[in-house]
Amino acid sequence: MAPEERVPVSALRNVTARRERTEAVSLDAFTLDTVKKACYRFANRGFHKLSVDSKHRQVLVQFRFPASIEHVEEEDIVDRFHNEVLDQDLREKVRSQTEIIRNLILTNAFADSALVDDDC
Amino acid sequence: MIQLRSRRCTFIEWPDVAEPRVLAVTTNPRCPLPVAQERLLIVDSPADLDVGRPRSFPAVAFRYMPSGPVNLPGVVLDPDLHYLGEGDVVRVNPAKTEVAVLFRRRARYNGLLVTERCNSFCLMCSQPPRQIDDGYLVNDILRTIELMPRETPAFGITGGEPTLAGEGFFSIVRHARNYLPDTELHVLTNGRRFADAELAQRLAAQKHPGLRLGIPLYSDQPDRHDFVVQARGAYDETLKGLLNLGAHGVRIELRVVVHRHTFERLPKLAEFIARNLPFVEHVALMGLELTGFAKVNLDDLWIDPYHYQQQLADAVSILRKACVPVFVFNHQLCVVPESVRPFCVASISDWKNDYLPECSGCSARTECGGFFSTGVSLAKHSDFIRPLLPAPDAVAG
Amino acid sequence: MTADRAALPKAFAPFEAYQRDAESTYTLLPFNFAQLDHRYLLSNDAGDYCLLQRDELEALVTGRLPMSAPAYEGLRAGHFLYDETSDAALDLLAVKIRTKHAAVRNFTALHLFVVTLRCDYSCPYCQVSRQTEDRQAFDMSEETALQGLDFVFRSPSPSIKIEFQGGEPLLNFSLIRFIVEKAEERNRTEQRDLRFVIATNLTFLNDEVLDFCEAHDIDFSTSLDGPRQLHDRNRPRPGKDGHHWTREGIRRIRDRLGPDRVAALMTTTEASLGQPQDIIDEYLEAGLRAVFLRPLSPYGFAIKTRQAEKYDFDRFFSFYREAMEYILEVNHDGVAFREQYSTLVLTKLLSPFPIGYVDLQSPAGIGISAIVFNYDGGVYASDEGRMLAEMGDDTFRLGDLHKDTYEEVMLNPTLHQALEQSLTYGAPECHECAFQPYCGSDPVYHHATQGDWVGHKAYSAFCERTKAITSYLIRKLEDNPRDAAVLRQWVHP
Repeated sequence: MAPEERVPVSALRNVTARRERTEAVSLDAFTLDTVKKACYRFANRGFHKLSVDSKHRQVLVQFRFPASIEHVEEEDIVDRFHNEVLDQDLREKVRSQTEIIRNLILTNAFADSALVDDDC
Repeated sequence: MIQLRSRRCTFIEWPDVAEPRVLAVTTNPRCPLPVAQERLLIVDSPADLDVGRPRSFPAVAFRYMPSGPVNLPGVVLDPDLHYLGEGDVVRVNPAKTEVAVLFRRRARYNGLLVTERCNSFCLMCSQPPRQIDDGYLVNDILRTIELMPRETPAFGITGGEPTLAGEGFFSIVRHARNYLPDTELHVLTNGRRFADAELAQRLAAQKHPGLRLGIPLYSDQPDRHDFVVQARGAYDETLKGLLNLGAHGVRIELRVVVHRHTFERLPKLAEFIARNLPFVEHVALMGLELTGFAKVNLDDLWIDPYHYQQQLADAVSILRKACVPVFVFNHQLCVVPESVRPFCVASISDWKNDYLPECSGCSARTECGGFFSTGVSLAKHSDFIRPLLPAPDAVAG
Repeated sequence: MTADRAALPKAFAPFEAYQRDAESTYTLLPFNFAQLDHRYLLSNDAGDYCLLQRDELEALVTGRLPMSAPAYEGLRAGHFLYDETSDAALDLLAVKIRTKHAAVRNFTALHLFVVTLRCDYSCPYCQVSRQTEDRQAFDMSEETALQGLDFVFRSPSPSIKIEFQGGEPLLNFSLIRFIVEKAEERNRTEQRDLRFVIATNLTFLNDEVLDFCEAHDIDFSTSLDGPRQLHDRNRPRPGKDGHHWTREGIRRIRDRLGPDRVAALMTTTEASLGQPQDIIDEYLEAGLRAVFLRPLSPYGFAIKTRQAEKYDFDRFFSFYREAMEYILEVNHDGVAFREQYSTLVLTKLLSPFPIGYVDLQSPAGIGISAIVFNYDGGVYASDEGRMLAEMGDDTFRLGDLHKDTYEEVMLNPTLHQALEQSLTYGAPECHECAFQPYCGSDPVYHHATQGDWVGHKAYSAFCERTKAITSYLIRKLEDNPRDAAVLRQWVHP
């Protein structure tokens, strides 16, 4: 979501009337870490809490929106959340493929500088 | 076009077993004896032989055919070499009846050939490589360096690929540092051998005070660069070479020849240089020199410079804004966009600069330099050559 | 590639012979990504970036991006992947990353000397100044200054910049003179690249000051918040003539020392938000060629309500955009005018070179890039750290020039914790953020607004600002060649 399109935080805090909504994310398709990371990013956009439903192999993600929020806006946030889960999954794929080479590059980058102790 | 070598010289009264010799030319028959022993005296007429001590020279060069015996080793010069004068350096080779000019004092620029061997095979190579044993060239250069005047502002070493001379290459750099410490040394090299960091370190360790390497990079893409130089892995080696040289503070001129295979990604290459090679001293964007392989592959390589004006302007702009100095060579001023003209360097050669009928009335003739008189340049050129007229206020002023 | 017009002679191989083998594949290089708009932004540790469609991104990550894809060559040159044609990317990335972090090796360069807290102004957004005549209580002493200089030259940095702050530093000009002379004396042996700058409101600028600054190559930095009404409202002084003195001071410096010797910044307040064009016009009128658009400081607000500043950010960003559009227009009209904050971000986007701005560094610039000596000898990790202390929070007070050694100050565990824990390489969200190379750590900000070094970035206006401004600049660079040409001009590595 482009930064300037975020729902202002003040619109989401200290409101009495709320709408709750629960989204399910399959643990067959995604890891728990992936889902947690997506939730973390939505902390200011309505994410409330998550719980694991082992029986159905899914994560239940609970959102809390102010009653004043437009339905369209709510759908938009939820859509973006699911996209974020997909993105986090993709990030995990990038990380697993590039972690080793990244360490190599970084070691190389800092190797001859005084930042790296010779004993390391 | 000046001839730099001729095998149509007549050697007279030379000793049977005579090795090639590198000598500096002089017109002064009264040279002090120790100096004369390293000189080739040049004479115009029989009367000149009666002046001074012609026999204290190892040999005499004749600009005429002597009618009788001269009683000294002599070489009758091919008329093409009659231009030779004081301070020029030549190799005389009686076995091949050859005189080769190694250094011309009056030339704006001298490029000394280190070897004709090369590890690349560029599509537009102006000095097509030959796989021959020409190790003697290194010794010629060492001798030439000893005979060059100390005031020489700059000279170049080229090839083929100079670094293929191995130790010979380093001895040239060292010799130049010792004998010509005030003279800039420009090395034309593909830089590939410097992928070996030790070689780069050795070069820096020569501590030549005026050393600059001219290294070509034709694309931001490995396959495109490799294609242009016809060598797999060349891009990889050149980039690693550049990094190693940069790490040791060696001055670098990055050269790009602009033709059909390199013009499209020229702006991308400029961005690549700005991000990855910002330590280069400057970038030289060069027009095609229509000789050697460039002539052979002309149909494949040729693109009218007028048609890559946008790419050229963008590349120059990107480099300028990244604070990388840029120069444009071998382009006529009328075919480059106005924004690029201030960066054009007139490659004025000391053989004739030629112009086309289309150039009459152009106010920028001297700045531009026109075309090289190498025949093909005049035959194959942009379709958009036109005179540049002065701006209206300039005329009024 | 354009089709071969004529086949090359047999001695030469065609382009296809040098391409990557069709059967082989490519290797991914490390990168982060984030959704920008309908495109995704990819970036790597060296700051290279590119834009992709999501399907291209997915294909790239799952190894299915074909060599013929339009994005392939850009990804290869940008070091997001490499293949059998060359692995030079590994060396180039290492060199670029090393270059980006080169400043860390040099250590502290900027040293702020708060020579007095006395000030003639009473700006509402300032936390530190005192309106008083009591020199004893609020002026730095020569003894403290000398201790400070000892500290300065303990830094290994080949470049040292000493900045005089306050209050209003010109109210203690004699100490400025003292410090400059002592520093130059020491520098005869130290041989650093030594520079001075005075951050002043220019009320007390006179010929004596100008003479001295000319003789010692001292630069000026001042605040110009906008046209007279706006400036005087934001920055009140008795007589309500701050704007007059500031403009007059700028003029005198330019006339006497040259146009490049005085720089100005503005602080955006509620009142500024509606006047971006007027502010730029004011700068143009003053003959200035650059402005630093500084957002509302969160420190005052942070104490009251922890989140209010985020709401204010959206309004600041509208203001920033309007100002930038106007600045770009000015440039297209032939006047070279820059915005400084954007220039910092552009430098990170377009070059591998580091920037000296403390708040956009990781590791954070606190202490290791810049450090503050307060009038009473207190050593602070940053100017904001000093302001926090004035409001009762001395977390970032690293020590005392009179009591602590250099080692005790620089090895202060708080400093190390703050630096280590706020490193973006290891922070939640930051470590996988596409904007990371263009951002920084700012533990002081997050401590002040959220109570820890790192903060939850979803609630951070600092995070939001970097993302918004960087996105804006990237879109300009990619989608608007005319504006991009201007922006590229601003970067001078």
